[in-house]
Amino acid sequence: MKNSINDLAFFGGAPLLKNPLPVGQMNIPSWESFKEKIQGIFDRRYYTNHGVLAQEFEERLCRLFNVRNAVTMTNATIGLSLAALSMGLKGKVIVPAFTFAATAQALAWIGIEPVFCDVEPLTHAISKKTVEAALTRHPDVTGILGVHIWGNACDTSGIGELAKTHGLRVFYDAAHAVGCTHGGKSIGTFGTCEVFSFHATKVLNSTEGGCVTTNDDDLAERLRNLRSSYGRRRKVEIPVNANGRFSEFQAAFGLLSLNDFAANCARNAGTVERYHEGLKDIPGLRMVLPAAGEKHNSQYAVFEVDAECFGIDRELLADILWHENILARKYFTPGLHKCTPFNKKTQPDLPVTDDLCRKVLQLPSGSMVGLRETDAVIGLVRFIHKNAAAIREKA
Amino acid sequence: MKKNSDEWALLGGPQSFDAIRTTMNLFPPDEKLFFRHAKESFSEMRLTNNGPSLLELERQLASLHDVRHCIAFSSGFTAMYVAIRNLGLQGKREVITPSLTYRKMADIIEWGGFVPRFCDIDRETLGPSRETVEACITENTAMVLAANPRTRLCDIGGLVNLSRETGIPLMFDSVEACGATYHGRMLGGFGNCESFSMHADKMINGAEGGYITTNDSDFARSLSRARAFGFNGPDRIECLGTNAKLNELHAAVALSAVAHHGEQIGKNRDLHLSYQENLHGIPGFNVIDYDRNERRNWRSLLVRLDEAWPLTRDQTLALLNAENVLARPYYSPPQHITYGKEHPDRKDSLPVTEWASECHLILPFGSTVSREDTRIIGRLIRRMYEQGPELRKRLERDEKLH
Repeated sequence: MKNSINDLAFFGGAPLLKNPLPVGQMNIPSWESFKEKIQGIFDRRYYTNHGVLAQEFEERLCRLFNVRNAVTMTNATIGLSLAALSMGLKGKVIVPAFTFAATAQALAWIGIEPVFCDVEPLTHAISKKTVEAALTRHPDVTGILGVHIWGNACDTSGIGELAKTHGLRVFYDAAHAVGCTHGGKSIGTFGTCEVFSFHATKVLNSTEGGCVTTNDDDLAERLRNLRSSYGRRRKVEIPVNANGRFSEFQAAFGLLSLNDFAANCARNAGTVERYHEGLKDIPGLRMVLPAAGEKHNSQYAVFEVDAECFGIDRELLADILWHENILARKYFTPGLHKCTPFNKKTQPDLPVTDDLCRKVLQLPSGSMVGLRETDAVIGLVRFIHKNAAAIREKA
Repeated sequence: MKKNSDEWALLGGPQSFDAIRTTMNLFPPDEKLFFRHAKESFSEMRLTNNGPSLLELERQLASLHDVRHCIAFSSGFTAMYVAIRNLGLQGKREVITPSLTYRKMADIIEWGGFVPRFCDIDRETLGPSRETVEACITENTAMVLAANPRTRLCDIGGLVNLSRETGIPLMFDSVEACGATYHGRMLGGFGNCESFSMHADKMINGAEGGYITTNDSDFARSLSRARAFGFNGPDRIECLGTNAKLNELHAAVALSAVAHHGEQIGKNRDLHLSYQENLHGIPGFNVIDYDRNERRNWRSLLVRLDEAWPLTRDQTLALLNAENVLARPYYSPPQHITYGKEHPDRKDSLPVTEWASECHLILPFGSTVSREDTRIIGRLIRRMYEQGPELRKRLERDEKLH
């Protein structure tokens, strides 16, 4: 409980929280259920190479996403690379600069040049308009990689239309969007394929892991062959050998996480709702909410911090929160068009991206963030806003 | 057993083994140790991103290999291409590598951003030598990727000298030589770096994983950044990164294997010597022995067939495989042949490689093989020699068996 700004840890006071509060989901199964599942692996003496648990996990993912094929991968980054390879994508691909680094890095590793496009200010996602602008500069692109940022889908029909007109392939980075729908349809079924992440910080957790989903059986078979010779249903031609294997250990963890999936989404929804209720009247703080009327995982509590209206900028706010053990993340910064190695080429002006890179802040949510923690963060943010002028003075 | 050619499983007879004997190591992890390490990750709520098991594993491996740094990755495949990307001279195109090695080496080099240039090997070691590599150096050479073969080591000293003299970076792929010494020094610190695998079928069973060892601190730092998207701190990206992180569960499995490394080598040695005893004196069937003066992992049973052996290598394999003895060809077909089909400008002629790839095989080894199995397999091989001419005639007559 802070009474004066001198109580802020940033100015030498004691941190509000004893233990650091992270933004990642940290959804971890019970030790007992974990032990039991892993013991099965030891008993079967089958540790990787598409074993029974990996097969079961893929089946359950197909049901979760309501899709014909879910091909598990070491992680989502290699999933993106193998997705592009399985599609035969070459040359240049349009991708937003406002996304996690992996989205563009995955393309670069297989020799594709990312062509960065801007995003929409309200949704933070690419749109037909922003893609068109990039297309005008680079009419020779061969594909579009959209990102369903914060779990909210891109305008898949607008983008799909545009792609069709210009003969482009479309696929999506759905790392944020496990369990989310778009127009009532499961994300996982749009574009040629979609790529999901099961990193430990995500709502569905296999420690590291990911999968590529598609209703195109031939594409799925190329993905399986690219991933490894184990787990392929028949041998097909692939452009290069790769390694995207997913072990029984990852599958075990993922299966346990699936058991808790609905409960974790519900918990997240509660957290997001509470943040929204507690902060919606604060000027200069706009929360990007889960898309209305859709199923959602609500794993991200994301805000835009408008320095002028809120009173201090995102940098200072994040700094102050970190000192209190609230590990808010400046997600994403810098924009990929300004990152090594992409900044070696002349990059376009992406004003919305640049603006968001200065403003967006992710607040803690996940298994370590209960009502008490949420209220503590809300209280602190309200306090900071109320005393913004004094803080600015003193900082 | 196998009193005549009809009794061979390939020709309709009963199989010698009910269950397969494979070349995959698959040493069962130490379960108690695994759960101990996993518990620590659970209590720190850290299942990846430099968790306690990952850090401990890197520490232990650095110590095992007597090097300053070990950087663990999600797989050996990935470890290698990230290392290549960060080691190969920029602006150059070719990585010199032996053709007689892991069949995906050319792909790894492509993932690393270069193209392979295949070199020949030495007849004795079956690995690259200073001579064979030097013959391939051009102004396009980005680096040398020297794989240590099974059983023998390549010309490590000669290659290190060559690297020093030319300034061309040198990496050893020591997957098959994990635990070996060269002139008494542990493999791990030679050249700019060395690569190893922790896949379940390798010496260290970590389910999935791989690692690079090096004494170069700057290089080590760049690798640990590259495997986590190139981040140096939360907001700064320094290079073309990727996700090549090793998760805590795999690190824990690997730790439970590393703890028994010496013990495993002891078991391997016993098994190898048992094979040698049971295969002793069979004309044309030559077990390649390990150098008794150095430390070795004893993990491969490599055989060279010579003119005295009555069957081709592939006929030998067909007969064995039908008995559930899953012996394998040794790196056949060699990469320059398969790669050359799609890249005719790379179709070099490598006579020693081509000879070696026709007459070597590896016998089943590891946790699926017992000492009693080596006795049975020894008797099978002996029978195969005795009935060789007859078997060969039948196999060549019966087209179905090709």
